[in-house]
Amino acid sequence: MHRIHDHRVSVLAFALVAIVGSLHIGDAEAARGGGRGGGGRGGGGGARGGGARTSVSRPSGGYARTSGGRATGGYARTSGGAARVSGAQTRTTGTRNVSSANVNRNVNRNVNRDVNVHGDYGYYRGGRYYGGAPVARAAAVGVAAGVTAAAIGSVAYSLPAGCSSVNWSGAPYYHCGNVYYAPQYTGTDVTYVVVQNPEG
Amino acid sequence: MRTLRGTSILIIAGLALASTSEANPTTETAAAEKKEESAIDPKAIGALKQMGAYLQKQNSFSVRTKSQTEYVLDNGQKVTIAADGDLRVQRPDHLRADVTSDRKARQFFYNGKTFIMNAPEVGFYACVIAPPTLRELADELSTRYGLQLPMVDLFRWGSPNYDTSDIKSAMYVGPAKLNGIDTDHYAFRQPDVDWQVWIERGAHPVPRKVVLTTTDDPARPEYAVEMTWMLGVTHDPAEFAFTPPKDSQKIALSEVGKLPAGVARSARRRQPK
Repeated sequence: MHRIHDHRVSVLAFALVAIVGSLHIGDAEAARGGGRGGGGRGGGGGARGGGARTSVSRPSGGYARTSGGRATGGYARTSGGAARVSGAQTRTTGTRNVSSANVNRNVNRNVNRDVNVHGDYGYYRGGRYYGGAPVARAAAVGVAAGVTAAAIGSVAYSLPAGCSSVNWSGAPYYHCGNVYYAPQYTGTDVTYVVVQNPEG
Repeated sequence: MRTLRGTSILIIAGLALASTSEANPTTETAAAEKKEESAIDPKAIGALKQMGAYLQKQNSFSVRTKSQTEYVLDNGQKVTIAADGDLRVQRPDHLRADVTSDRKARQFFYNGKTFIMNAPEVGFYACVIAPPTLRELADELSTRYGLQLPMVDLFRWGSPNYDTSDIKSAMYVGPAKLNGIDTDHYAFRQPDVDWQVWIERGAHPVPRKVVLTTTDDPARPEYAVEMTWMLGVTHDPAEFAFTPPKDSQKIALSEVGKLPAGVARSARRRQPK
């Protein structure tokens, strides 16, 4: 089922990875914090809004709203989401024009998980670009003062252009400049967490 | 007046009550709450409970959904994303859901032991150990993984843990013909969300349409979903089974408040040899 390329790096330059100028919308429930007002909103792009809630019920135990464990550090969670309905207030950012010239634009430690989540479309796969026209404005999401390096554990919501796809011990990674990302799910969104060089 | 005559005890008692009320700073709040309570039409709550009880009795069903969700951009402008869903449910412990929105496609598989989310177009799937019932699954996905099951309210309405005390206002809007089906239209208010449900009349009181208005966002984004029901269907067990497509890859499902799995993995690998 998996391609296992142990100790072998397969490079698919520019494959799958460039997300250029489309609107990033996602619906990770975790992104909601203790509710829409709960998280430190707008740490990255300043997106204030989100999507409409899609549920009126809530987990019987309330939400687990632990704070800080996420290495992005950007989203302070309030505790006790119990007063909240388990809405699907998804977060929207404006467009994120990812410059291929600047890897670090995606790797903003201050990026709040409440923003910068995304859908799948607007990506390259198999040499074909899947995506529509750029939507809305070109928000410089992710460009923040002091971003000098991709911090291990940072979570990005899209990859910069020009990454290589790498399989290491059967697991997928992306190698972008000098930064390695591992894809993961955050809620139903595919996100990319900065990891150390998996090749050791 | 007749009762007051010569009844000093009653008068004193009355004065005492009055002064107590005046001295009580929460009187106004209490009055407001009482007014709020009176905004609840017990028949509307009753209809909701009846719908929930009926849903809980459905052991094997399919629901097709068509939804529209509004998203608010930085400038306050709203955009609408549509999604189609196909849910197949075998209570208490099997679910298959396929949801395709304008933006992405996801498949969900649950068999009482594992929960799998697959992104067929991207080629990534995640697999986690799951609790033994759908309702517990919905809660665990919410609290542990920050993931909301599609149409999660369908699994919570009518369950012992569903609490209507969140509802601060409940009203019957009126009869409504929805795609040729007779329904009753109800409207509710609870913290941060106003919502409406159209419940089918007759022997099958299922929700045919739900609209949510998120009220703690000044743009008040809405979510609307219409449902087509197939009750009492027999599911092929194969519908609940997931076989990773060729070339798909397993990735982690991140846990709320935990270090991303990829980091932990690479950190482990870097332990001293």
